[in-house]
Amino acid sequence: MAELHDLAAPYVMDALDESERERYEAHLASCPVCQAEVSDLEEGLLLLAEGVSESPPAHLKSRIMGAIENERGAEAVDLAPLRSMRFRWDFAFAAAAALVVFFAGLLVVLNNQLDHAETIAAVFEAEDATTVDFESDVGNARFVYSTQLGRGVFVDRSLEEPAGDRVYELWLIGAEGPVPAGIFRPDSEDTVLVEDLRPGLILALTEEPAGGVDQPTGDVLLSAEL
Amino acid sequence: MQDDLAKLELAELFARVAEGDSDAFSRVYDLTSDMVYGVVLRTVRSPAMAEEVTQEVFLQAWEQSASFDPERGSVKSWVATLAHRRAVDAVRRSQSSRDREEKVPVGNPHPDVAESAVEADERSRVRQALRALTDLQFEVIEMAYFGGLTYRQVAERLDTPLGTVKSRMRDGLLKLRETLGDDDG
Repeated sequence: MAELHDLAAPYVMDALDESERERYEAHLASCPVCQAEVSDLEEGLLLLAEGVSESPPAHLKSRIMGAIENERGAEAVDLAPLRSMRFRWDFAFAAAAALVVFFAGLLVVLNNQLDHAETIAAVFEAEDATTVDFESDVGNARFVYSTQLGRGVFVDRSLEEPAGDRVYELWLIGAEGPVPAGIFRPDSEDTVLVEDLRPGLILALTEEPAGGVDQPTGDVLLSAEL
Repeated sequence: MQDDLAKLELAELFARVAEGDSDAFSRVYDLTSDMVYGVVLRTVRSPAMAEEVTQEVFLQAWEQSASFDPERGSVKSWVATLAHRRAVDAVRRSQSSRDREEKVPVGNPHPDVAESAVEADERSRVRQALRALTDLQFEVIEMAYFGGLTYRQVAERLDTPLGTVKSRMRDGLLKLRETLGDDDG
């Protein structure tokens, strides 16, 4: 049986089998000598790791950042109200239910939105990506767009939920008047992909009846010229 | 919030990542992805698999950023450890039914490591450092680190006692570190 403190070098190189690794980690937790040795060996190993550096394909970053933006957006939108809710027993059940919905939603998001995520990521990563932050009476939001791609992503950051089953509707307003650009509710969507962008159009947000409408009827809650 | 991320050190950037700052994470990616992808590619030996594993590594880094402990080492070391562990796991999963022996360049002690070191200062420093290793030290480190073999498997393949393999690994890594220290000093 190997002396445990001899195993620092194979350990830092992941060259122990599973049972040996577990035993060594248990030992390491309480052995300052081994901790110092592991940290020295890791410094040497880092040089080797850096020595084989190689640039990954460029699309990999978009993929990874897209996955992260999605995760972060979902958390910012869905968990924030739970965090700020004063704890009361009658809320506990609601919170538990909301968490179930959140995780179920996350699964759906992960399954359905891989392509969607790549499209969104492409907008975030576009050379000409432009960010507009909105602060309004109904809360904060962000719009990131690329005129090169002709696409933008509307990100809900803290919008209030519209009453009942009403929805938010996005509009692109040009010479020919407002054109519907997407509907959402803050409790079910955190990002909305807006297509057919052109410079000079105006992006606007209104609150509308369930299902959305062809022409805006609500007040303009926020707007920006692109 | 967008104050010059480019000027921040990895440790500072990573503290922001732990708070959910994705701009800081993007910068961390820029600073570490070459190393991560290089280690993973060299270990799994398939560009497609290397992409998958690299993505797993960065998502794991994002999710576990809050558990990173600066007291225990550098961000780069931590990320390199995540990368290598994921890569080795992938290799060991896929090799269970298949012998990778022909893929492991046994007896080719200084394979591509030196070749991939290009003009950048840091790279030449690495090459300098790796040259400090004896062939025997490099051989065991290469087989274990990039070959995904356990030290027992290395000992078996080289028909060398376990103790010898372990001390070659240790001496080699300490030699690398020493070279690094010489440069810094």
